[in-house]
Amino acid sequence: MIEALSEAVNDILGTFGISPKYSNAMKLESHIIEKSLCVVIGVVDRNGDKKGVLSFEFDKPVVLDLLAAMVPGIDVDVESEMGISAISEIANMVTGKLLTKLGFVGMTTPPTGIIGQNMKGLLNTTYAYKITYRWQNGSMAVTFSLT
Amino acid sequence: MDKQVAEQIIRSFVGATMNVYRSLTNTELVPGGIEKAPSLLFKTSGVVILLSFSGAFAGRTILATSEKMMEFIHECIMDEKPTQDDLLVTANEFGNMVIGHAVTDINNRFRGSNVRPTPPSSYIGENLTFFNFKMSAYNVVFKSRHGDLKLNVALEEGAK
Repeated sequence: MIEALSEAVNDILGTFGISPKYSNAMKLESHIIEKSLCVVIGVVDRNGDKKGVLSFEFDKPVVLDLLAAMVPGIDVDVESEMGISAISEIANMVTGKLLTKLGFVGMTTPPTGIIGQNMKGLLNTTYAYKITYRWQNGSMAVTFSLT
Repeated sequence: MDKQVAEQIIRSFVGATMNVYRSLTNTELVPGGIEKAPSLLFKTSGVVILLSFSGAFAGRTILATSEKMMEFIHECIMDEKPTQDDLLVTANEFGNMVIGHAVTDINNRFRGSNVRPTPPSSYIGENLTFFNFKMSAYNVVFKSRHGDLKLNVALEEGAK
């Protein structure tokens, strides 16, 4: 699963000419988030037997770089509707790519963008696979859990 | 989405929230009316439960309250003072029960709609803002002896 997740993220970031400096993967005992800027998408199969969550956590400087790659020449505030809409689109694209790679026939929920202060989140109480991508100015973490 | 369909889906969440709250706490929530949300941004501080679903109707529901009210719910279930991590687990469990009841009700109201929930998630923090796009959102505020509980239902425009 972690390979498919890594490939999906790399494929989508690659379409915007972005490649992380390095990444590391880990298995978490539960699906938690700790950054204060994230996008969450749910997935469920047609029978409701398998369901899961994908989260995308960002440092603000990383979002600025993503926005510069997606809409070059336009200044977009990271926490504006346009900024959150753009990273929600990246999350949608990665989710679609991941489900295709996994052969998962199902549905996704609309993405929800979340920002806050001193924020902590519990997204699933089952094991989760997390990949953190690092650049010089920050990181992005993509986590997937499926029950 | 048709306004009457939207109203029935919201009523499913209102009923589910009231039933689950009553069964866990032996106290009542009193709902206000359904109001169209002025914005797709939902802002709050405290504890938030995010419930997403997909199928013939897709959307997400937010339940937002104070840490104090979630502590009350936790103490009704566990009979002990909760940590912040405990509150997140309790919120998830509360959300899981609400969306289970609500989705069953929606599928009974709209046969063949095959609406399915995804795992609930819960958040604690300050100045939390939730963004959704291309959706219509509605608010219901519940009053209780232990504070307010806000329900915000956002539905994707156009059934699938």
